[in-house]
Amino acid sequence: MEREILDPEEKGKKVKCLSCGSPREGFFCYDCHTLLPISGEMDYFAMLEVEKRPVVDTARLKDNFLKMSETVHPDRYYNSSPEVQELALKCSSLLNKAYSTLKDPKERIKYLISLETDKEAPVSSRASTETMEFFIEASDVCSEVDAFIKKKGGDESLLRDYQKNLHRLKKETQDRWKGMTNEIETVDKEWATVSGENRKPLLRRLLVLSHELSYLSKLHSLIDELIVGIS
Amino acid sequence: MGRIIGIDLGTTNSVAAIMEGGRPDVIADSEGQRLTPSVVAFAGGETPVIGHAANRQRILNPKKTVYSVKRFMGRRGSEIKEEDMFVSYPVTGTGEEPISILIDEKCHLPEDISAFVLKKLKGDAERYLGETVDRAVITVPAYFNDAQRNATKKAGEIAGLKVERIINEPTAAGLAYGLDKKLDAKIGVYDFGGGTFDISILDIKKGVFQVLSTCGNTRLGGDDIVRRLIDFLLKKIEEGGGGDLSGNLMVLSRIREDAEKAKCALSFQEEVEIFIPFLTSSFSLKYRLTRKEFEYLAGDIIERTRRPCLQAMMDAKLTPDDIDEVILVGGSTRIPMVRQLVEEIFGKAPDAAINPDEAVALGAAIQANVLSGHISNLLLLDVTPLSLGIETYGGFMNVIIPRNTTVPTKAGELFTTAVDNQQAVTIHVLQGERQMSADNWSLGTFLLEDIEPAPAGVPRIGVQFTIDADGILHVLARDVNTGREKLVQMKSTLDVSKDAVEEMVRESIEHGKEDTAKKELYDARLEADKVLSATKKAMDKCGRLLEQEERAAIDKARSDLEEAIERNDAAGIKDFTVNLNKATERLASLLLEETAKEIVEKGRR
Repeated sequence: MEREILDPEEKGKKVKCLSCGSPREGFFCYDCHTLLPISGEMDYFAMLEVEKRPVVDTARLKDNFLKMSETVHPDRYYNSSPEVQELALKCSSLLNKAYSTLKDPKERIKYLISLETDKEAPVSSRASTETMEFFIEASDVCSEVDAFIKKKGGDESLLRDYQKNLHRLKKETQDRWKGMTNEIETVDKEWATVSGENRKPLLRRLLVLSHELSYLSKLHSLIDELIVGIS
Repeated sequence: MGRIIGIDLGTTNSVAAIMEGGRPDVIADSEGQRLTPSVVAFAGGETPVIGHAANRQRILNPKKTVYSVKRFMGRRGSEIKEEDMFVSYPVTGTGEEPISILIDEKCHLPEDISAFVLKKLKGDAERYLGETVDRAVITVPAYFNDAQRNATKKAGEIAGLKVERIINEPTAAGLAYGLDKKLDAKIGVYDFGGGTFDISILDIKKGVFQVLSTCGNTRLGGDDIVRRLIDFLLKKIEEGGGGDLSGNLMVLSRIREDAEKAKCALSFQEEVEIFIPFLTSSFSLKYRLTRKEFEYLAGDIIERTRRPCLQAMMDAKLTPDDIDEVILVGGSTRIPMVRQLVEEIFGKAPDAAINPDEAVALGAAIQANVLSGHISNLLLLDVTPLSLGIETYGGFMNVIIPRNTTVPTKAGELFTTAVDNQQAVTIHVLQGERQMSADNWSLGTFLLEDIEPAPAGVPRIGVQFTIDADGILHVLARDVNTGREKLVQMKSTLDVSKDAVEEMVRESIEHGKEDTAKKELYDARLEADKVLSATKKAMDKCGRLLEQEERAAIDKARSDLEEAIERNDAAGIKDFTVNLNKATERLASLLLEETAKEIVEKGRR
C-alpha cells in the first residue's frame, strides 16, 4: 500500500479573502479578521514564515506556530458558520502538520528535498557503513533486552547491566544524532551561497544525512521503549 | 444561547463548574455539596435516585446501585476482565457486545447511567444559575480511546446537553493551574482518580497550553486499591472465624464502605481501626490497619503509574529536570505513597496549589468560556493519546496518525483494489501501540463501495482521517479518478441500537435466568474446558496405552460433559467434570510417567 498525504486544498498561489475579496497570502486576512482558503502552492516554510533552508530558527518556528495557532484554531471560530469552522479545521490541521515536519530535522530535510527535487525522497535507503554497524550492534542489544523483558523477572545484576547498556547506547545515539545535525548546519551554510543547479550536490548530501537520521531516530525510539519497559 | 458549563464526569465523583466574574467556580449540588457521587440507585419506581442519596443505597440495595460505571464506558464484553465484573450490580456482555447493566430486567448501557448523573448536575446548575442549561464541556481521561469519547458524548446528549467539547482531564487541570499562576513553564499533570490514571506533559507559553505528550491507563485507580483492601479484609474475616463471606453482596458492600473510609483515613493518620459489627449473627470484624500494611497491599498498583510517566517524558523528549512543576489531580493523589512516587519519578516535590478534586471541572469551565468567545488570550492545543492506524496484510497495524500528534489533524491514505473488477474494499481501523492489529483496540470497519470496475490496482480511493479537537475520528473517502467524495460511516460494534441490546440481554436472561446462575455456569464451563483440553492432550499422547474399556469410559464421560455444556446445564457440567476427572485418573499417571521418561531421554541426548 503506498502512502500519500492528500492535499485537500485547491490550487492557486494567491487566494481571495472570502469577505473583502482582496488577494492575500497565508491563512488569515488581517484587514477583516477572517480565515483565508488555503493556497495549494504555499509550502510549510512559507506557512510558518521561516526561511526555506536546511536549518531553521527553532525558537522563531515555535513562536510563529503558537501565534498562528491562536488565529486559526477551531476554538476561535466556534460560533462561526459551518464553512468557516471547516476551514479552521483544515488550516489548523495543516499548520500542525507543517510544524511537526519542520521542527524535526529529519522530517524537515526530507521535506526540503521533496520540495527541491519535486518528488518524495526515497523512503528506504542505506546509511553509511559506520551507522549501519552501530545500528546492528545496538539492535542486537535491544533484542536481547526485549527477550529479557518478555521473560519477566530475572537476574537483578543482569537487569542493571542491561539498563547501563541501554543508557550508553542512548547516549551514543544522541551523540551521533548531534554529529549529523552539525553536518546539516555545514550544508546549511553553503546553501545560502549557491542556488539552482549548484544546490544538487548539497541535496545529495542531505539525502544521505536524512537516511542516517532515519536509522538513528528509529533506534532512539526503540531504546526509549526498552528503557521504559525494563524500569 | 445559554451559558456553557464545565463538567468533570468522574469515576467516583462528578463536579460541575462555571466561570463567573472572570473566575471559574464549582457549582454546589442540591444538597450543598461540591462533589456529587457518580452513583445511580434504582430504589423502586421509574426514576432512580442520584448522587448522595444513591450513595446511601449502596449497602441496602447493592444489586440496584450502580457506581464506577465509567470503567465500562465504550467497552465491549470481551474487554471486561473477570475482576472488573466485581461490582455489586449485574453486568453482562460477552464478545463483541457492549457492556450493559441489568436492573429489574431492564438493560442500561453505561452511557445511560452516566446520563442520569449528568442530568442531575444539569438540574442543580439550573437551580443555581436560575436559567436553562443545555450546553456543556465534558472531560474524559486523556487516555480514553475513540469509542470511550463517543460514549461520553452520547451520555451528554441523552441527558439533554449539547456537548460543545470533550477535553482531557489532565489538560483541563493544567488549564486551571496555569490560569491561576499566569506562568510560562513545562508542567507534568499526574492524574490518579477512582478508576483511571493519566499523565500529561504541558508546555505553557503566553497563554497557549500545548500538550506535548500524554500516557495512561484507563483501568487503574483508587477502586483497585479498595478492591485489594476488601480481599485482605475478607481473608482476615475468614481467619478470624467469620467464614467465607465473599459471596454475600450485602456484606461485601458494607466491607467496601469501610475499606474506602480506611483508605482515605490512612492518608492523614498512621493507622486506622476498622470495626464492622455483626457481619454474621456471630461475627464482627475488628482490625487495626497500619499505613505500612496498606502500602504493602497497594504498592504494586501505585507502582504501575511509573511506566506511563517515563513514557510520557520520553515522548515529549524531556527529562525530569526539564519539567518545572508537577501537579496532582484526582483523589488517589492524597495517598502519601503516591506523592512519594511522584517525587521520586520527577525529582521534585509536587505542587499542592490546586484542589485535586475540583481542578478538572474548573478547567472545563475555562474551556467553555474560550469556546463562547469570552476568553481570547488563552488556547488549548491537545494531542491524540493513541496511534491511529489500519490493518494491513498479515494482521499488522499500519500507523497513519502517531500518538501525541497535535489535534486537529488530518492524514490521508490511498487505497486500491487487489483483484480485477473488485467493487468494494473493507478497511479495518485500529487504535493502539502494539504491532499486531489483534492486540489493539478495533474502532470498527468501513466499506469503500461502488468502485468502478477496473483491473486490480487501477482504482485509487483516497481516504482522509480527521481527528477533531474532541479527539474524535471522522473518515472521508474520495475516488481520486472520478473526484466523488463521501463521508464514510464507521461501523462500530458498539453502535448497536438500544433495542438490539435489550433483545440480546433478554435472550441471555432466558438462558441464564439469574445472574448468579450465569456466573456459576461460566465458572463450571471454565473448569470443564480445562479438563476437556487436558484430557484431549493426554489421550493424544498416551491414549494408546489404555485398556479398551478405559478408553470407552473416558469417551463416555467426555461426551456426557460436552452434551451438558451444549445444554448450558451448570449442575450437569459440574457433575460430569468430576466424572471425567475420575475416569482419567490412570491416564494422568500414565502421562506423568511418559513425560518423565521423555525428560530423562532428552537429558541423555
